[in-house]
Amino acid sequence: MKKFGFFFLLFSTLLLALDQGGAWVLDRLHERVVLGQRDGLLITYLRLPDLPQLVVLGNSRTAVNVCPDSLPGAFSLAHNGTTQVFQTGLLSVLHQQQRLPPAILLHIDLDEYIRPTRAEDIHLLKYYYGQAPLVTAYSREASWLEPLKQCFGLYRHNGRIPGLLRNWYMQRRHPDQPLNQGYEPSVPAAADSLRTAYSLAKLNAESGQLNRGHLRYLQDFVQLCQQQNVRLICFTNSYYQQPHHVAAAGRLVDSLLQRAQVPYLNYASQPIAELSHNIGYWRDATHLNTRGIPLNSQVLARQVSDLLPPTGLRAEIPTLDDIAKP
Amino acid sequence: MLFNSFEFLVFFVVVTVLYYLLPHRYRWLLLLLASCGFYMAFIPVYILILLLTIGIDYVAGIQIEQAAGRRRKQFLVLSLVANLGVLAFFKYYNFFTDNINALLDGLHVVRYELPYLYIILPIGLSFHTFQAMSYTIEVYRGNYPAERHLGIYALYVMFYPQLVAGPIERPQNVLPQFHEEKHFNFDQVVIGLQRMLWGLFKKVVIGDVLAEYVNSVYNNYEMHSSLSLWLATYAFAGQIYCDFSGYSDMALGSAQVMGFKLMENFRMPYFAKSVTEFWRRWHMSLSTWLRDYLYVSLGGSRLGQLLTYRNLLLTMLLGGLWHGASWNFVIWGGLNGLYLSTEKLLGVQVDRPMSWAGRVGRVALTFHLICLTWVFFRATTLEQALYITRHLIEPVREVALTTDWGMVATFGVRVGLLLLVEFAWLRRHRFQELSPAYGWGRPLAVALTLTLLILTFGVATGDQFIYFQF
Repeated sequence: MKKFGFFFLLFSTLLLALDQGGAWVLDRLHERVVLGQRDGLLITYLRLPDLPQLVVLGNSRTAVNVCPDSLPGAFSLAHNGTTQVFQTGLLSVLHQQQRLPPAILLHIDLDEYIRPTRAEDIHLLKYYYGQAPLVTAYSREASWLEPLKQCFGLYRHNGRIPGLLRNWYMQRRHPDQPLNQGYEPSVPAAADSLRTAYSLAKLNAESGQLNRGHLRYLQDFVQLCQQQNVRLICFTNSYYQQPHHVAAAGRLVDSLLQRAQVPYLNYASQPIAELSHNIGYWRDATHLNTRGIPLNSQVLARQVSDLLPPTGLRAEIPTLDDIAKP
Repeated sequence: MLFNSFEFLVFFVVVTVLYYLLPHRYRWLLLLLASCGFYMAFIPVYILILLLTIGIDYVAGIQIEQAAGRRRKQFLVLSLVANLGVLAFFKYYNFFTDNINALLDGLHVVRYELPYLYIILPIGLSFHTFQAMSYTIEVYRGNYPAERHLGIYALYVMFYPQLVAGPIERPQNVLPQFHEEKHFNFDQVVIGLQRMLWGLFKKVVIGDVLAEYVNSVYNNYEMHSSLSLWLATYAFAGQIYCDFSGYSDMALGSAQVMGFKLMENFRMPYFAKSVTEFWRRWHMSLSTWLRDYLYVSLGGSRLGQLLTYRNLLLTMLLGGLWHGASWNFVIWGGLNGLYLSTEKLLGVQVDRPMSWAGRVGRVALTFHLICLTWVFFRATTLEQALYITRHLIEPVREVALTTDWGMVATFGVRVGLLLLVEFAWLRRHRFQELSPAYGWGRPLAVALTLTLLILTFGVATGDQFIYFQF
């Protein structure tokens, strides 16, 4: 038993040393990499010399469908494959870092409200555990042992090392590359229409039973914006054709936003006619290609501009190298 | 409570520490209570069903030993009916109902539909049912005396490391170990912990990453090319191996830490040179169970060639059905039975000397034959399985999604690492060689490497083990 005690002590000491050493190296790397959707974009935003007038948040339906250049003074922090819990956690990070913008344009994906709640999405922000209050709170809800896991420094970087190294390499290779501001356009391809028809059929095949789980995160989001005097506008992008669940999910979200007096531009219920009638604008049933993006972005920009106070000219977009400099 | 969760880590540490602190006479009680807690972490009320069958089998075992003549058989039948009855009710009722309804509908005989049951399958039902059955069969055959200690017998069925996904143990191997007093053995504890780490590494660093690619293709199979379907099927072969053998390593390791030796379940199955050899290396506790209690009972290979083929086919068909109540699993079992029968017919020998190229060719052929069966195992419907099987050969005409080479590269690197470790080290060595008795350097290096890799590359929000559903 004594021998095991020594062995375990030696193992624990070495593990602690390697863990802390490895985490220190990765933390330094993390701070330097400003490329990549997961962290680079956020670090870029946090280091921008001037805060943008408007920050766009959402999942791939924002990163792909909305060109931030169409919106006055906008910067997109959209992240593919995320749900409302992530957006609220991200808002908490911006708050904690004192980088809240004057206005936020939040995309609400109505599909989330017919699917199981994905509280684990908060782990994408686990780097900010212990810093951003809502990230910490949601992470603890997802797993009561999260504080124990967070004792390991390397856990902060779990699942992101290959991406971090790749982005670090790309950044060194192309230091003059302009920032994409979270915009990931997709060029039209031959298979677009087939994919659109197929994905629409899949969407319609989903049960359509409403899940109110995500509402709570949306409520927290609205509350934090109101507390910090951030002007919030919510929107939902168009679908190629409206799936059956959209109307009910839209009403659910709308009731919450109406009570909070948050403007909600629901293009799912009131679609942009030209987009709904032309399959050539779509990459799949929920994502546009570069033919459809300008149309979608222009309509959105017009309506958002009406809801925002007039702004001055936006600052010049810096390069990767400008941002990466300590 | 999943093995790949921090909750299990806490549970395991607490139980193990208490186990060594308690005197031997109370340890069975601790392990039984811990096992009950482990089982009840899923659906608590189902423990009543498990306790009922344990009670029946316990009484049946003693009665079989004490009775003579037909009465012995009657108690054996009682035990088998009780176990198989629970299995049939929970696992196969809806399957049979579905088929009977389809048949009645097809024949247009009567306008009546049998009702469906909306219940969740008790976790690990097939595993502990087979383990319980092996006890009464062994007592009936006179190979093992009936267990008189109800608590120890309950522990035999419920021992938490192997309760929900095996290995499916035999009474001869496990029951005597529960009676023996175990002393803390530094070497065995360290080896067991390393084995647990290796199992966890396979599950969360390799299996769960492969699962992401498999799911992305299989969930949208009609949009993918034949190449993507092949790659996803290869990935699934890796996923299910890492998932299940990873679980088994964790089960064996956690038992070994407490001084118990459970039977091996895997021996590098994808290096098998024939399907027959594959089944000697894959899920060995099930394949030997099927051989000992089903194939042999059907007559094995003693009744002539034709009946041997029938027995092989029947054994594998039922083995398939054991996995899940769907035609996909029946076909999966049937295909394996067909392979085994064909190899027997062709007189395939793998033990004779063979050239290096011949060995590689045989391993590759066996792997691809097995991959074809995995399509039926992974697909959620028969229609999906048939579509994928067809398009593994015939190119897909309209491809909407291109192959995600980034994901393929990610899983390629991890599978390469696994193959390297298995081929270069595990093929020739055993976990026993990682004992600190040979110096602390190697076990420390292995444990640290695995822990750091799990921390940095493991999928933290991974799914449950595939075999938990059986």
